[in-house]
Amino acid sequence: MKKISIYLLAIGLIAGAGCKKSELQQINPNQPTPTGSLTSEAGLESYGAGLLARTIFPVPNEGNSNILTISMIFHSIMGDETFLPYGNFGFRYVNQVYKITLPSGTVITTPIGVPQKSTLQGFNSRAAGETNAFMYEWTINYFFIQQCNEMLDALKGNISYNGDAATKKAALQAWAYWWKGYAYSRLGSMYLSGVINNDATGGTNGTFVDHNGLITEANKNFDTCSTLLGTLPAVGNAGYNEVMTALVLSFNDNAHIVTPAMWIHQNNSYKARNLLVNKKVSAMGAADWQSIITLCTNGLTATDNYFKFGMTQDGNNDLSNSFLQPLAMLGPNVQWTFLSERLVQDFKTGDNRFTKGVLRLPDPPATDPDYGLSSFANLRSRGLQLGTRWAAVPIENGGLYATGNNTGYVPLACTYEENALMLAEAYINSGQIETGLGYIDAVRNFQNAGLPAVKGTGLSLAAAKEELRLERRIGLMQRGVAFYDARRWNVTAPVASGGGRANAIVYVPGTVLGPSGTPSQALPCFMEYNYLDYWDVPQNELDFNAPSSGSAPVKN
Amino acid sequence: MKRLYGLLSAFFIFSVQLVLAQNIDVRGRITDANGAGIPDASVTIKGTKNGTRTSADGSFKLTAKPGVILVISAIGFESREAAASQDNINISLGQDIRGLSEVVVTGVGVATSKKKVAIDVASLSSKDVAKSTMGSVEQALIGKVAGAQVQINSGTPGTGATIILRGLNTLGSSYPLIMVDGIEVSDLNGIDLGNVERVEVVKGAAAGMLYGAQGANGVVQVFTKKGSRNRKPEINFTSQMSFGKILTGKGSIIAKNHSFETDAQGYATSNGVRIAPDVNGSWLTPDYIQSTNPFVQQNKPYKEQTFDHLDQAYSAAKTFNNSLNISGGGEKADYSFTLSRYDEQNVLSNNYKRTSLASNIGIEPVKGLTFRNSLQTIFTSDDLISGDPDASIGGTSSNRFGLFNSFPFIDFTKRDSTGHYVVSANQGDKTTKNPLSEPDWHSRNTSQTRIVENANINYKFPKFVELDYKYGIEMWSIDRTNYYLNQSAATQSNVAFWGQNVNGSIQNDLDKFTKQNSLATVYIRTDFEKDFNWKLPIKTTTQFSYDYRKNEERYYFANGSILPGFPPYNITVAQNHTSGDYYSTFVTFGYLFNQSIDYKDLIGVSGGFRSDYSSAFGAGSKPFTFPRGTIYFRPTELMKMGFLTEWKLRAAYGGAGIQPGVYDRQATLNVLQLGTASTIFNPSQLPNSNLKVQQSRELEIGTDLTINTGLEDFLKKINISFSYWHHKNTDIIQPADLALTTGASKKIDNLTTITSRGIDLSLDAGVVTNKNFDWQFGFRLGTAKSVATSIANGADIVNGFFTVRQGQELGLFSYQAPLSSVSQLQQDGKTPYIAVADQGKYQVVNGIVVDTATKKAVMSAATDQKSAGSAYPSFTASFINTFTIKKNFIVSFQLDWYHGNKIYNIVRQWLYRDRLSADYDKAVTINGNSGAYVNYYNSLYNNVQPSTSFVENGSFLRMRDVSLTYNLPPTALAHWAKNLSFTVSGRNLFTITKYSGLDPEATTTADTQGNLAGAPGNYTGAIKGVDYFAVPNLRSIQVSLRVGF
Repeated sequence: MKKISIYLLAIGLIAGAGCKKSELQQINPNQPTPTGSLTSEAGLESYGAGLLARTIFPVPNEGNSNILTISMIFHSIMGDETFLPYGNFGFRYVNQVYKITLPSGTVITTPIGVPQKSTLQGFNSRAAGETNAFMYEWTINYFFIQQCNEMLDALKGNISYNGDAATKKAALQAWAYWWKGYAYSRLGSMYLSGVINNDATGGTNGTFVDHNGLITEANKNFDTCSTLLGTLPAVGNAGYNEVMTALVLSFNDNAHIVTPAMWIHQNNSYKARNLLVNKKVSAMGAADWQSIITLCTNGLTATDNYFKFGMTQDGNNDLSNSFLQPLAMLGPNVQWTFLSERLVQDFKTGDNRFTKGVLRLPDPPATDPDYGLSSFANLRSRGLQLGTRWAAVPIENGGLYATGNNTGYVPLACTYEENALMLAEAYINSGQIETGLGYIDAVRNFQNAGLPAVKGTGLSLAAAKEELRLERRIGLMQRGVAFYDARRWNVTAPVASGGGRANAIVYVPGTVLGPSGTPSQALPCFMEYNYLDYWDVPQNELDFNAPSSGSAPVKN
Repeated sequence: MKRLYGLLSAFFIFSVQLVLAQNIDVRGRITDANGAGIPDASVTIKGTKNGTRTSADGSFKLTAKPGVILVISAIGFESREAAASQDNINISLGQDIRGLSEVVVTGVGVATSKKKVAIDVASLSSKDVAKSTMGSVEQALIGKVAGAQVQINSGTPGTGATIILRGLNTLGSSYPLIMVDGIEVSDLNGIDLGNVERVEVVKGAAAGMLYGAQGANGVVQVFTKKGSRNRKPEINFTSQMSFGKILTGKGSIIAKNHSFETDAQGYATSNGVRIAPDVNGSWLTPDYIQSTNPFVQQNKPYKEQTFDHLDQAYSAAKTFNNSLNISGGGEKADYSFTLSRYDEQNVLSNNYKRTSLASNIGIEPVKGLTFRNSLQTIFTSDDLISGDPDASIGGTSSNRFGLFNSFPFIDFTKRDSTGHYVVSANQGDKTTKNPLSEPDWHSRNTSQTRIVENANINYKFPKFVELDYKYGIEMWSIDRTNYYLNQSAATQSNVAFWGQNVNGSIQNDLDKFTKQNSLATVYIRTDFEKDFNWKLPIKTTTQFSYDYRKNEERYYFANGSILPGFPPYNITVAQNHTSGDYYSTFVTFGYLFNQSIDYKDLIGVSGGFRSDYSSAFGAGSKPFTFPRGTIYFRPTELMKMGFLTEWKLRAAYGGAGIQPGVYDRQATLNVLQLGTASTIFNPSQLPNSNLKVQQSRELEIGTDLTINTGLEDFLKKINISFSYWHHKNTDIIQPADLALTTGASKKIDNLTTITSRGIDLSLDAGVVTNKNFDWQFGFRLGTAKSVATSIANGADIVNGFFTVRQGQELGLFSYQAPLSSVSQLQQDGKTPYIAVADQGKYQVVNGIVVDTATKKAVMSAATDQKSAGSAYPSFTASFINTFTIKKNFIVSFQLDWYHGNKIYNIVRQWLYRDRLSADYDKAVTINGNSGAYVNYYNSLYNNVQPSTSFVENGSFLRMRDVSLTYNLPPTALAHWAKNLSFTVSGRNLFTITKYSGLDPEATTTADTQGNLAGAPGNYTGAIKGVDYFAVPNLRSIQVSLRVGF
């Protein structure tokens, strides 16, 4: 037995040689750790820039997709700038117009048979996967908020800065507060209610505040951002420029730096937007208009740079995967969104933006050479609103609203034009119609519309408001306000509440109008959109975060 | 070491002395009942290890003292003994149809006779392999092992199999631990069947405990071909050729009729104008007759010429498999060399090639000490570009979509003015491309080298102790290149192109992977009678092992985009460059102690434990310990039981695990190159620093019995093996959904419990046994049901088409369903879906409630989901019959049967979108009127997805194999060959199924868009129950020739 123990020992030794417990401490060599990276200036800049990487989310059934783009598209299609006939990401249920009344009086109800509210609420479950439209804007904005919370928390630590520490720290903090302001603004302008989450450890809470509460929180963050920026030189300095060049992604245009002064203007404009878009226009009072005038007077100017969303030319290393970016989606290669008849009818005759930006699709069998597409009506029998005679000229061919080769930007937040048109609206509604019209002219000139001035033409209040409506439709195309406008102008409300749009052009299929062979016709119809004003909180949240008592309602 | 040498030399002298005694040459031939020689039978001198093996014709020669007893044994036959003499010894062995003579290793630790094994170990030797099997171990296993569901989900070459052993134990992969000659390797796919002698399968944790934290899914062990001592070189050559076409189901899945607007002549029109292809072959979408008219019917035959797109795209494919084996051995060594070449054509005109070189050399320099080295080098290359959506085998999801979802009047073979196939053949749907055009613009190549090296030193002391050390290393090097040409000058470049951008891109990948396994074992054996002279017929075996495993991976990729419009196509010439890398290291080690005690052959118990450490375990890397105990009892040892000649009762209990993901315990930030910046950000799926191993506990109770009916020719002997098993799987890793306001959507955690139970039954019988006709029958049955008994928060886990719901079966299809009665109530149990006053306006048509006015189906609410069954079959069974006629003709066939499994037919659902499904041709009767109403079918697609309407019965009975073999009788063979046989076989010749798709086996885990489950944040599903445009398996004919020299 002695021998046995010797051999056992030998085996044991061989065994022991491979059995270093320290070998079990395998560290992931591929990815940085929070403690290793969020303690340096470079790490925090990468982390700040990485906020936008969070827009790439593994959507059920779709894989990694840009959910910020998806929510931007929702706004465009509900605002009827564009339409999207496909079911992916729940798109087609979002622009499901309830009823369309033809000039003949024939009423065509959506093939689904019920208004948008019933459909969207029906899909409000985790089981509905990608079709649950409620989840996208919610998800991306809370992802922004949480990463900003962690970024602000990390900035409290002992960070080594290269150079002007105070400036760099302030710029990094301003970035995080701005994104929180942006996220709460989007949430508060879209959802019935939400939570205010300042937890930097990945926790949350069950206190749902109503959308006004979220807007208050948004404005608070914008104010903090402005205060921080106010400590810096108005045009920035080398340290500031360095940080901003790192934070803004190259394909989102980091060459045109948003200086502290421009950024403060942005915050003021956004606060004005938050006020304007969250009240029905009929509920706006004199004080509201005055607030808008005050904010917008200190808002974005024609020379201010602003935050944008673009693409890389080869579709690599950007957020779009060559596809999920608003300009690309409307472009000839993707053709997911299409130019709405209802947008095109809002161009005034002689508008250069129409000549430059819009092309008439030939009627079948001819096709447009860029799009390989003919005019079409009632695509896949999914609704009469899903047809058009128009397409957007690609930017690379001199157009304005679409691209086939990843060219161009859409603004992420407010622009000079929006600020000017808010001023216009506020002045028109405050009895200073001519002042207001001047801003409309300024926007048209800024966009080289080539339209005659309306200021000084003695327009009535109603006519001035119509000029404003037209210019907000065209001048702010793809600027993220189309749905907000349709909501506050009561266009998307049910007919019973005075909603709908009369004389809305619909490209009606000939087969609905007459016997086989009847050509499709663009006819003025009455459209009852009947959309929800504010969306329900997605069930994806409520399944794991039940509202505590006293919370605001989470569902319509 | 001096002591060891002393010992060794002492033995050497002793054995030499033995040889010096008066010896004679003993010659003979071992045959089966039919008189055919049994190759590779073992002939040993009783009580010693000395002996030889028979050659291919069954003959042997050895030197022995006259009168010593020879023990003759062969796998698949009952052993016999005979005295050595100078006369020719001709011995016929009886068939051992249940293989009780076999010795098994897997799951028992030490080579043990099947008679005394307390667990269910299935084994498969080369003679059991269906003749139509071409070069693949996975294919060889199909239908052969009760309780082993082995399914090849695609006809694309190189597709590995899904293997599920006894139900599901995890939400992750069900793939078992794969071993080659006692050493862990990464997978079976690519292992050359020509080099395989035998495969053993153990199906659960009771046996898997020996393999610890990796054994819960069961173990498949491959034993490679070995030579035999004292044998002249033998050469065996096998050549196989197969010719196959894809399975296409029962009839066309595409509608014969359409419902487009037409002109007076009946041709489809768009805006009143007859449609025609443009110069490139691209068509306008004709106008659908508007479904605002509920009376629209799909009843217009195409006036245009139509094309069968499957026929246009899929060609017949040939496969060649050639294998040459040389083996033999001297007095102290044996050797075997195998060279194989496998060439498989893809039905989409690409190729998969594999060359394998294998050697297995054993040396016994001194008695008791053996060295063995086996080495397999496998070179694989392929240029597959399109096929399955599974990116891991080179497919992309979009390419085959168009094959199905295209109007029949589109001609995919149309070429444009530049000679290229039309890319976008449907102007109304740019994203759906012509799959035939992809090879014009996209090339892909993979070449890989895989080396499986296994070295073994074994020393057996004369008594008590055996030391064994194995070291295995598997090395993979995979080199891929994948490029899309610059298509900016292509005729349709503005609207459709292949790849990410029109200007082309190229990606090269290099993946190097090593897997090391070091296994040291001490066995201590005692025999109380022999060793201690105690009058107790007890034998004991103690096993102590130390098992160390380490996996390392290094991966690099480089990507170039925007290529010039001229060759060469490489990254250097690309305008933009991106690159990246990935490294991983995984270490696990553990100790095993196992003790077994046998009392005669009557009863035996064993027990032990294994303790494992792993770099993937969280919270301080504490070890996890798995217990085990087994017992068997053979009543037939105690009493004569008439016709019951062999009866064993057995039970086993054991635990084993499944490791967490390599770095899932570590909190890290994600990295993404965005523009010119490398950004970092929080992951949406959180890791978990406390992650534990997933644990499976198995209880297995079974019996093995042999019935000797005493009849002469008919049903002489029946063997039955039966097991009941129960698994309790705890700490199953689940990516649990989180409230989104936390800033993350999921967190990995050990939250789920899964229980499974089922039975395995094997029955083998010699139905007819006589000289001129022999009929062997085998039946295999496995049932399994796996239920998620608890999941976090009780909240459903939803992934693609699959829902994991507490208390329900895994693989569940649960969706909104069409109402089945007009008075059906909503989930609240009170409110009818249709107001009572309106119920008269609805009717049940084909079991579905339809609005008689609109002809549309009415669906249940989104929150009101109905279970439509599970993708997992309630049982799988197979029937295997082998008939031997006049010794030389062998006819065999195998039928495989899946029952109770459901398939989500996403192909059919997509075809509903464009009114292309053959279902649209079928008339339904609504309100007394019969017609192929478009609204009826369209409403099943249009309003919800997914829906139970597309869940179908996936049960099938498939003629897996039928073969006819002719063995040339030895008399017909000249001296140039020892044996020669010729086989004609057919594979998948027919299928009986209600399934309406192409092939009920060609399924995946994909969702509606073709994303596979298993992406980050998803559970991998394990169950492949979705028909997502996979390439169907092939119906094929094989011709093969086997010759031995």
